[in-house]
Amino acid sequence: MTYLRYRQICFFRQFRQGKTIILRNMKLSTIASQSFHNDVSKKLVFVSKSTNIFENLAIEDWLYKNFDFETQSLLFIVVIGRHQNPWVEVNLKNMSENGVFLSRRNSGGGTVYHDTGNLNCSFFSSRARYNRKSNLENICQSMKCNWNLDLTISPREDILLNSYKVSGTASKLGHKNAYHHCTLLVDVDSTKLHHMLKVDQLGIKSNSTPSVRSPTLNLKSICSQISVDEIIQVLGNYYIRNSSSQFEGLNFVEPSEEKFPGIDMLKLSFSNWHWTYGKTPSFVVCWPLGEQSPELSIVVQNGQIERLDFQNITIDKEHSRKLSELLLNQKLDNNLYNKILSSNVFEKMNDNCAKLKEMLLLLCLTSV
Amino acid sequence: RKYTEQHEWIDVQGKIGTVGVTDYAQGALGDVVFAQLPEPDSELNQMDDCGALESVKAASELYSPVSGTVVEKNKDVEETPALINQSPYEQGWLFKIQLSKPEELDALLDEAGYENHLKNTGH
Repeated sequence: MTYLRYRQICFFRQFRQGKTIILRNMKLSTIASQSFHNDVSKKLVFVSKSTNIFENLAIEDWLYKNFDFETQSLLFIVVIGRHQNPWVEVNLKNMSENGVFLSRRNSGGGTVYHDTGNLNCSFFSSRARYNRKSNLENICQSMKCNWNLDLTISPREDILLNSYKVSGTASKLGHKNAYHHCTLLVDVDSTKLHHMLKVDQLGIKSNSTPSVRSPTLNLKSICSQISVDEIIQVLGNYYIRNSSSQFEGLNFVEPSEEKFPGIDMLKLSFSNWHWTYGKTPSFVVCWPLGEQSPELSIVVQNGQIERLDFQNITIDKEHSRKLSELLLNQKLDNNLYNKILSSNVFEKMNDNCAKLKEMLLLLCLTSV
Repeated sequence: RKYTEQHEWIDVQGKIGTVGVTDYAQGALGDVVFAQLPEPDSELNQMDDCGALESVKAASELYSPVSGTVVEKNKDVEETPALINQSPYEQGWLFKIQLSKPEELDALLDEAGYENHLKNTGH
C-alpha cells in the first residue's frame, strides 16, 4: 500500500519575549532565551522534509498544541475534514484498488486529494491574530508578482484562477491558538483526483459536513515554469518580507521525535481506524438503494453497525436473524469484509441478496 | 447565568449546569453546519476540549466551563446545528453537566463581567 504524499510548508512569526524556542535546524526541543531588537517580530517558515500525510498532520497538530503563539505565529492524500463521512466523500473501492490511504484532519471543511503536485500551506497564529483572508491575499499577491497569475478569492475562500479552483481552505480555532491551512494545486494528477473523489451512490443519510465540489485546475497547466519547490521559495520569502530581524531563511525540518517530542504519538493517533473511520458522525444506509420503503436500514455509529432495522418481508425471519448475528456491533473494516465474503447467510436469502452482499462489502473497504 | 472568556455560558439548576455559546460566539462563528458534542457519561475537567462547532470550513473548539460528568447532549442541535445561531441561549443549548466542583462557578464571569470582557477585547 502506498501513502498519498504531498509537500507541507508552515508559516509563523516569533515575537520578542523572555522565553523563545529556537527554530533553526534542529533544536526544537531546546528552550533558550534570545535577545532580539526591540519591537521585532521574527517571521519563520518551516518546510517539512516529509511527504507522508500522517507525519505532516502530526507536525501541524504538534505545533498547534505545543507552541505559544502569543510569542510566535506560524506559516506549514485523500484528506477528509474533521466532521466528514468517508463513505459519502470518497470512492473507497478505487482507493482500495489503487492502494491509497485515507486520513482525517482536525480542521473543518471538505475532502481533498493530495499528491506531490500539491502544496499544503499552514498559517499558525494566536487566536487573536487569526486572519484567513489576509493569508490568502498574501498567496495571491506573491503568485501575481512572480508569475503574473490573476488569482482571486471566492466567497467560500477558495482561490480561483479563470473561475477554476486552485486552492481550498480550512481552519482550526482554539482558545489560544489557531491555524488556517490551504492546498495549492500545482501539478496534481487530475485523473486520480476524480477517480478517488468520485463517489458510488450508497444513499447514505447523514448530517456530516458535505464537500462542495468545484471544477479544479492545476497552476502548471496555465504557467508551465511553475513548480512546488519554486512556490515554496516564493511564498516563504514573501511571508518573511519586511521582517526587520535577522533573516532565518526557510527551515527544512524533519518531523522526528527528537525535534518534536511527542510527535510519534500524534502520528499514531492520525493513522488508525478509530480516528479515520470511528470518528464519522452517525449515519444510516438503506437497502435496496433509492427505495422509498427500504427493507433494511443499517445504523452506523462510530464506524460500527449499531442497529439493523428490518421492514417489509422479502428477507425472512431466519435470514434476518443470521444477518444480525453477522453484522451487529461489528466495525466496518477488513475483518468484517472477510466475514461477509465467507458467509453463507446470503445464499437463498432472496433475489436481491447478491446486491446486498456487494453493498455491505463496499462499506467495509476501509484502508487503515 | 455565568460566562467564560471563551464565550460560553452555563446556567446551573441544583447540581446540573446547562452549557451553550453566547450570542457573540454564534455571530462570530457564522452559520454552524456541524456540532460535535461531548457524549453523556464523559468526565470533563474545567477547560477540557470537549467538542467542536464547525462553520465556514473552520472547526472551533468547545471547552467545558466546569468540571463534572456530562449527563445529556442536545440531540436537536446535532440534527439542526442552525439552532445555535437562531437561539443560542434557549433551544441552542449544547450539553448538560453534573458539576463535581461547584466552587469553580465563583471564578466565572457574571453578565456585567462578560459584557466588559467583550468591550475590552474590542468586540
